[in-house]
Amino acid sequence: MKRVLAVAAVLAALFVAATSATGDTFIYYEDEMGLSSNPIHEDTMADVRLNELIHGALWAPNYADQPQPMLVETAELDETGRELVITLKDVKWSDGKPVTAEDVVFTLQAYKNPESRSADRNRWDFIMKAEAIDAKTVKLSFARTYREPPAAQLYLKIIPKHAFQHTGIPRNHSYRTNPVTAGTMVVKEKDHKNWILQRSSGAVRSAKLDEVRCQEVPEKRTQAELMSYEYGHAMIEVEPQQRAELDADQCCTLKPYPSKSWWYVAYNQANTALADGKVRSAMSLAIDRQQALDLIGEGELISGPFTLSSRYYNHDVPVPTQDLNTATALMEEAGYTKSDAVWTKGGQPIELRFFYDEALGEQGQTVATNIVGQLKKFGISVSNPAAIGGESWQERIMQKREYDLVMGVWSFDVNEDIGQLFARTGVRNFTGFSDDRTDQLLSGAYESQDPSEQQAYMKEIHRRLAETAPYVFLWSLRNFSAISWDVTGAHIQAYYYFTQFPDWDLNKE
Amino acid sequence: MSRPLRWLLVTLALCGIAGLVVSCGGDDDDASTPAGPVEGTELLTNSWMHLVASDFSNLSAFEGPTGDQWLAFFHNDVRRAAGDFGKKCTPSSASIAERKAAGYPCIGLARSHLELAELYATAYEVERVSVRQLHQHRDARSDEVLPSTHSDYFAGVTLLLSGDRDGATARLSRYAASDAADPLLKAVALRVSEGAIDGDPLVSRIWGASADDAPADSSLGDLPSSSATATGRARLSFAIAVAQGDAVQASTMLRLDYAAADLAEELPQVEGEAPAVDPVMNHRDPMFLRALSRYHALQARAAVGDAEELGVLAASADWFLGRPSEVPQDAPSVVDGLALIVFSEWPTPADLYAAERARPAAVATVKRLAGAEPIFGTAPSADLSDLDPFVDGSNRLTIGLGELLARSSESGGNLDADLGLSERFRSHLLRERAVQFQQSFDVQLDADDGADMASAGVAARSLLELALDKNPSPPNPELRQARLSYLNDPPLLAALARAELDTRRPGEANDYIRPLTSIYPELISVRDALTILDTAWNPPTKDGSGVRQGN
Repeated sequence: MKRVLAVAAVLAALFVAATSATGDTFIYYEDEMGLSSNPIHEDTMADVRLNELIHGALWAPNYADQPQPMLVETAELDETGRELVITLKDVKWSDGKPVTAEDVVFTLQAYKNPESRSADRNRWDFIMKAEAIDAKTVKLSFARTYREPPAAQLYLKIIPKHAFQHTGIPRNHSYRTNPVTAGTMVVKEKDHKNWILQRSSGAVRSAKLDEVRCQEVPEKRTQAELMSYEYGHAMIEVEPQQRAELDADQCCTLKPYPSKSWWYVAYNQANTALADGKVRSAMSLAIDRQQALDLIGEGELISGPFTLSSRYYNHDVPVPTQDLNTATALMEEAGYTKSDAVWTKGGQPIELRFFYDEALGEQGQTVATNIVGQLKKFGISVSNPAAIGGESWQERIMQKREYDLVMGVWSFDVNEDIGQLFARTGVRNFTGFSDDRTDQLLSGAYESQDPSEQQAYMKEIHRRLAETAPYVFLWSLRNFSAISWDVTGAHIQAYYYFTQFPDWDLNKE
Repeated sequence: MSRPLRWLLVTLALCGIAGLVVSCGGDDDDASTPAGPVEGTELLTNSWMHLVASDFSNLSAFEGPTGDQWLAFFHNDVRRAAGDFGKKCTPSSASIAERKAAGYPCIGLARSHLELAELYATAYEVERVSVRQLHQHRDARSDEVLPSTHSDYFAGVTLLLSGDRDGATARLSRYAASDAADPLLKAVALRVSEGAIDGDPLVSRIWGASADDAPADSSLGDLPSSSATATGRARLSFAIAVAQGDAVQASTMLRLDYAAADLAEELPQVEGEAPAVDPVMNHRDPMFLRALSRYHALQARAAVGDAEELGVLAASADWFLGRPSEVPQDAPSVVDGLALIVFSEWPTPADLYAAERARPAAVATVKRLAGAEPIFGTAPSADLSDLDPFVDGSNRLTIGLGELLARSSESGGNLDADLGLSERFRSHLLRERAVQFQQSFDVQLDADDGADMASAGVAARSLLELALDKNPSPPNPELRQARLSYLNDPPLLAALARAELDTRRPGEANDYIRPLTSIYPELISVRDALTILDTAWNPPTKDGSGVRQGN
């Protein structure tokens, strides 16, 4: 009964917040909805999904994950392999103005402008220069030579120059909730729990559906029940606990959502104790990962920053099992002594603040509580885990770095570029990890042109990161999405959930 | 009616895992009221699912002396089933009925080996295509990749396996002429390149398209040894024994180090600022997996003996052996032929027979049920939106079958839920449709992308993904790790890998192959072939790379 009331309360909130859905409205649930409709400030996968729906990109993956021109009409790589001339299709922004070459140039400048504080500012470093040749022609100059147009690297969502006064775009710019876009849908309304989108009339790929509602429903159980009651049409990620229920339910089908993602606990090396690799390694060995994983169901333990099926996963590096003797020896080597069951150095205990990504919901809380408990048992004083999400995560964890331990999930596109996390200059290196050998290995991997050599570099990086322990690498989960049987044409792809959304429809029968 | 104990245990185990999802063991008011068939499902009243649901004692023969083996088979623990059935099978010409008292061990053995033959046949194709694509990638970028001494040999044999005899002999001859060639591989390269032209029966059987076993005294001549190729030589010896049709001899050669390459070639790194990492190119000849598939087909053939009533299993084995196969004319009734199809995807023996006759387009049930679901009678189209009506149709028929089973006896509904009878049927329909797509369109990657990769290729992949059991509940952690369950059989996972590779997703293909390596270490070579191809296609780069927080 309590559950029914909870669902009813959620429904009431959702329907108060939004006008009534029509039969042509597609509803999907996010644990934590996207915060920004500005692609240069995309931080989470929820942001990615939202922006896929509303923004037009130069190229986007087709059904077979191969690049397909979207805003691009033609693309010609010159004989040096370093200059790409692109002509744009005749597409209009949602305010009726044409999409121009200047918009492409502006977008790249905005990404790269440090004032914009985009986490993707280095993503486009390979584009040295962008010039508008005329209204529809743009020339991109690259830092290196390409054999063919690097279309798969140019899934670049374009924003309109005329919506901004400067290429330095603050995160709180009104565009984040009130964008001018050139994608399949346009933003109609946004409140604290919903994004409401409607079909764009001038998109390159026209949607079959009139309206989309992205609704924030933090509890997975509630999401599953809403799906079961056939209120919603897609639940992005189904936890193992709900999988059997939804699989047996006639509301929906489960589709593999093959993401390259893994869970971690990161150590902030600004903390003196955690700057010591021996302490990090000791703490990693003090944790029984399997015990924590068993609390949330199916998954695969990992020993480094890749999923087990990744081309870079080093199967020669074993997953650490809990080893309290070695952990104790490492703490002692690091100069700590145990008194009253607590590790101290110079009479001072290690005291750590533990946070976890709020979007991980109950699973996150369960795992975080378990890990904190294990660390306390080992003799480390750790705060009770605190959930942190949205803007607070960006500000406190990523920018100010006011944490000691933080648990989260990283998701990668096909490139699996861990350099952003572990290179000294990596834009998402929020732990302060700094290791010359890792940097050299990354450089080697990026520069190599030979697959065996590239793989050797990446596998060695895996080994090195397992050894230096900037994170506790936890596990990867198999992800499935629940899609209502009422939805036709639904096709989801790793990282690009809504790229084929224009072909989605609702069964009218 | 009392359920046989073993299957009751299956029921309890599944109930325990499924919890509230399936109604286990309770009374079902609807089920106690037998009625006529649900509309459209008349054609399924002759299925094994209905036979079993209407009277569970029909499974009693699978509970007796071979109960553990059939239970393993039910859970798709096929390797274990094959091993244990093998201890109880004495091949003979006995009729199916005469085998009942013993629990059909030879039928179980043959069927287990056929599953393994299919697994390795598909895995072989995944490896062959991956290796071919890798060498094409290297050839196209010969000015960029590190030089390799031994690539010519492995590219050559892969081309021969792929039917490109001219390309193969050119590469093998070049290798044989190289001063740096490995002594063993050099000798084999010479023999193979000459044999490919002369039609040497052993060469044609191992690397070519010959349907005939090589003579028992055939050989590749006196081959020198080299420590670098010790594993490769052992695999070659196995393949020779299989090519000669000598499964007994081949059995003695299967203690191999599956993680080891045929030849691990250290590539010379260019000195520079980046640290040395000793890159190694792990070369493997894909023919080993084809030989392994044929080995299991030979075992299946041996288990069948000269029993006329098991001719359909012999025909299936012949298919995997690359021989002309002859499927017997008349299929037995579901009662008489239950052992041929129980726990399989085929609802009736007639479907099994029809599918065997239709290979490689092994589709029968979907065609037969076109009367119940008209969409089943339509040819697949390249429009992805046409998938939905088929999926809807298969769902309707599955629900209909569920109702039919529920009405068949007091315990029919519970049995359906517990043993996944109707869910298995749904999976079968989707898999058959995937085969229709694969046979109707150009979807398969080989030297080039399939022309219909992005449409029909994606459709085939989507159908197989729908057929996958998303919530497997296997009886032990090993099967769980491998993603196997009573619905997920090894050939399905291999087929998914092939469909992913066909749509240029080697990383996703490995999501199905890599877990299987925990039970089938022979597939490590496929895992490695996919990862290196994935690296070639998607090299490490910062350019345009996306990393995000959360799922």
